[in-house]
Amino acid sequence: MPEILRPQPASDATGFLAGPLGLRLDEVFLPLKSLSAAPEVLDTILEFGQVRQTDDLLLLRFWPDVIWASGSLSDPAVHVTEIGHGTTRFRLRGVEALHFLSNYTRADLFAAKLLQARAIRTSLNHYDCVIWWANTRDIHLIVDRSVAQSFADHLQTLAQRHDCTDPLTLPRPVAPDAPDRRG
Amino acid sequence: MSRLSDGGMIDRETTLNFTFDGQPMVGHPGDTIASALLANGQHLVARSIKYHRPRGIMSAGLEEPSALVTVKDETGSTPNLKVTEVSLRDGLEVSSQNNWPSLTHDRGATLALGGKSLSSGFYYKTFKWPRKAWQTTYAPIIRKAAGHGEVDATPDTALYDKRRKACDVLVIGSGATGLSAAITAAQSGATTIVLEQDSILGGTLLSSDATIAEQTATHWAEDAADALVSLSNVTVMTSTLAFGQYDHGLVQAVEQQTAGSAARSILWKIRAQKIILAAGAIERPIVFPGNDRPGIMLAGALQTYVRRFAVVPGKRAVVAVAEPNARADTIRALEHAGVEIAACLNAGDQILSTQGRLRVSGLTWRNTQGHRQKVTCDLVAMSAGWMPTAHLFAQMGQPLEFDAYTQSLLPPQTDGPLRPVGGARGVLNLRDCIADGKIAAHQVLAELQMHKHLSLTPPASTARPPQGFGSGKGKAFVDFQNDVTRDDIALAQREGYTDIELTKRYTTLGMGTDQGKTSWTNGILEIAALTGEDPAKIGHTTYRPAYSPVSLGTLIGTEVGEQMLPTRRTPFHGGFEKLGCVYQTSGDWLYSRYFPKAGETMEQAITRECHAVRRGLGCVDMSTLGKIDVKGPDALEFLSRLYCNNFAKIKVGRLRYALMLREDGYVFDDGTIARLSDTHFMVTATTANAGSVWRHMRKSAQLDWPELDVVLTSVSDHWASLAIAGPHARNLLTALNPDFDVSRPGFPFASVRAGHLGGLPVRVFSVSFSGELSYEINVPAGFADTLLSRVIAGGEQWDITPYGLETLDVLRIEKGHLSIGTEVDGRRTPADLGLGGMVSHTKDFVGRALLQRKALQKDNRAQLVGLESKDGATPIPIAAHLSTTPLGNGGPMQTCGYLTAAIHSPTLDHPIALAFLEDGQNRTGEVLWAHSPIAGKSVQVRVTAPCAYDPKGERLNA
Repeated sequence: MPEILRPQPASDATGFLAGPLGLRLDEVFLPLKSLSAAPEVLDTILEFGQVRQTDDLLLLRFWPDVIWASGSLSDPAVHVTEIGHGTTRFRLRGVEALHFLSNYTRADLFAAKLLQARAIRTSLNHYDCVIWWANTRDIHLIVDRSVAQSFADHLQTLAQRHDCTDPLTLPRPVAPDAPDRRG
Repeated sequence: MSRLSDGGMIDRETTLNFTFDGQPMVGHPGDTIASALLANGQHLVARSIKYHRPRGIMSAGLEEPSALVTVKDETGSTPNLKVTEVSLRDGLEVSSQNNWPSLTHDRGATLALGGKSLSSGFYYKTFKWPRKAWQTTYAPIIRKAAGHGEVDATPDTALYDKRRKACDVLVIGSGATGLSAAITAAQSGATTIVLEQDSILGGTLLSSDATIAEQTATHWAEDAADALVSLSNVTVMTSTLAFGQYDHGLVQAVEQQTAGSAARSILWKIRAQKIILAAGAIERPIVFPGNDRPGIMLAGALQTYVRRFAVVPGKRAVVAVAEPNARADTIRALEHAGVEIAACLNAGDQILSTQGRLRVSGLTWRNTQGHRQKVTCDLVAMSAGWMPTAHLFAQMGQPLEFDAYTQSLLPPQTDGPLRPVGGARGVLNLRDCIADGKIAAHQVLAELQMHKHLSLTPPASTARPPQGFGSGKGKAFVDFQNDVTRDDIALAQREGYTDIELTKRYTTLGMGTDQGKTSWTNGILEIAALTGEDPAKIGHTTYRPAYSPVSLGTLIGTEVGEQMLPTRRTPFHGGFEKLGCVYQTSGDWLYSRYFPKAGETMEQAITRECHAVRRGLGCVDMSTLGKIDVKGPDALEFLSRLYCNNFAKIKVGRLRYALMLREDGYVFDDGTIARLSDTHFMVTATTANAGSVWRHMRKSAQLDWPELDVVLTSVSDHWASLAIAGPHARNLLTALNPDFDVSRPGFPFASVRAGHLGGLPVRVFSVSFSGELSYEINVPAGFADTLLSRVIAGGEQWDITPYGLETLDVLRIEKGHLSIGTEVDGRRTPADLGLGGMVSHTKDFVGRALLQRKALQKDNRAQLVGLESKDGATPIPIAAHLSTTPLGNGGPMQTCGYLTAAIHSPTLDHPIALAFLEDGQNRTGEVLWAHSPIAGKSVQVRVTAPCAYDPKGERLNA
């Protein structure tokens, strides 16, 4: 019987971050492909700066000539390259998740345009990352695999600098699989 | 205790204990250290920097020039803090600075007896000879005698953080102007941030007895603060000092966290579309003889201590306040505190002197009728007027302009993102300030298209006091922190240091932790009075961030230790760690360095690893190489233009070594190009240049040759790469159960195969950096652990040895292979590196034109050569320079080259080196000297070819 290959995680992020924010960070494998084509071709699939997520398809477009895709999408006009092992997706959950990240991202995650798009490619301190979210307490982040452990450690370090007395970051821990109630 | 029985904004229910110079004292929440010290009757707080004169608390804010102390808490001690800026906490240990043996009996005070001999330029004029004595004798004595607190050398255990915010309108300051501006902006829906350096909102309203809309100023401020806090589009940040303005509406601020918080302080980077600077104004001291004694305080500060902190600052006061309304306000405050008004000076009176040793005890003046008068007192309230706090405005390079009407430096009109309002532009009347804040907010909202334009006229700046005070002769301080007197400024003018920048540097006027907040305007007026020059033409020195000192910990934030920068780890990191790898940082990578066995030194481990690769089998992590996937009908043409060598005939399944030049003709990078299909290539770049090659290729595809149909994808992180090298490499590859032919004819050197190894999807490249038979096995990074464990298990029968960067370097030096940053240093042509034959003469490529320059085609350029020691045994010193002659004693000598690498070759068992040597390729066999003055060694070396091991490459095809 052939061995079933499972990708090894790039980090040890599997649980709550230190500190009172109740943020949970998990690494989730995402089999991403890079779809490359002329911008006008990609425009017909997804507009620039947008994310689209359905049950079996995720599309992220932060470059004019590239879409990151996970799932089945066939278009003869695009070149497909596997990149899923080179990227690491983290999932940050907690009531204050987006507020927490917004403290450190170069872009203002609460800017009106972003609250509509709910996705951006930006830097979080020294880390380049792609961020998208369906609601403000369940955030997805993608970083290069090689910095994944360092990035997870960094979020851990940042979380320790928050406390209950911070009026912006009330300590409201959330169970990892708790249903979304807002956003 | 010198505390009023009621009133003030302190929590009398709670007592905070602290010490000052070991003396136990008490205060309350709401106190600053300054107010608590005054409440405990402690006016003497510090000694001045130069003359060691007794100094007290002069102000109630960040402008405090004199009362600097060292504050110790559970995280360590911090020197040079102003007592006026630190909120009192339980258990603080406060110490005075710059005195010995004690604050009250400071022997350094004898320096004051030096009188005028210790004037400006004293050091420059006195300590000139003998020259060496400055370092050995003078500097240590001076540093001991003059200075502030000492830095705590123990590690700082506190945590710091840096965060970002963005808003439509940023309001700096929360006095009457700031509050009205913030409420106006917030009610229009703008996202608004209010910064207040104090622990509560209100600014000078908190110490005012004025009424606004039939409320006390304090209640009005509380109501406004409540209104702001309740609005969801407003963020109120107290204890947060905006200390710098930068391009495009960026303001940096430092938030001091309350005791018990996780972080001690937070550096905020706030990006605002519009900034309203409502930082108010700073009161100006009067320059008169003896104006620095403890007990002589700014009038506004006295009002603050009485009304906000319920402190009784003295028993008998002299009031010397130029502006009539401010004078009356001060008298009301003092009388409320039960302070007897010993005298109230009128504008035009001439202050002659003060008396007292450790605290003021009397004041002598001559009134406008010419009568000399003297009173005893323990308190002097002084004010010569106000100076706008427009520092953040001026930090962007636009100077403030001296305005005769207000007798202060005012910000000019501007349409930039930052708007000074209220006191920050010389508007001092309370109602005018409220109106000014509202008008400014309307204006910026209109500019943000969040409000219609309103034709509102802002109030005019407030006129200066009609008349000031005169001064007698004597030591009259202009800059209290640096002990700069009126005579010092006069001396600078007499000695030619008339430019304001020179005056500052010669006298130290405006330097130090207060950056001249209380002294600049007075300094300009003093210069004007001395020289007769128009103050507007004197100008001011450059304003720079930080407005007030910010601790290094705050500026650094989390960026210490492993959080300094992102660290890259390869997919084999965990697996190699289990094999006992020692890591080193190489660029931003954590790279495997070597794998010591128990009791082995690094050198022993490297030798063992080298032998394993040359004689048996080794494996090394090559994942850090850049990997770029190139696809499209024009992929080959694209690569052909980028690389200088010919590979038009490269077949599918084969790869070529390739050289990339910069446009100036010098070598940029090397790597391999593997053809996976007719239109699909995999290109590798060196670790050091992975990012820059990727950017260069993207730029070329997008801007230089957009007509080419080519798609680039960086797959550096997608593929993990493990090289197996050594005579048994093919045996191991076979043992890994490939689904493709790995026999010598079926998989020759310089080939690539895509397939599976025991079901594991792989691309295998037969390339070698070590000079041995070698295969670089690429797997999707998530399967790296699986590959490594199979390679280690499968290679056990050949005693497979993992090796690291150190061994890799030794092996490549033996082979004469290039390394980026050492041999490829940005100044080498292909010919210099012995690769001139690779350059195509039949195609165009990046760098071709400029490679033809005469200077790059000269015969005698420095060229890469190998070296071996002449006697075959003496180590060749690292980084030595080459010469044809032995090292003499005659100073500089002629050199003809230098070393880039030197090792003892484990394989050849003698020292070898790589070097650049003028016309080196024609000097094989020549004996030269390798000199290293740093190592103190000179060795005779013989010039060889760069490749010292297997020059014909026979082992690659074994």
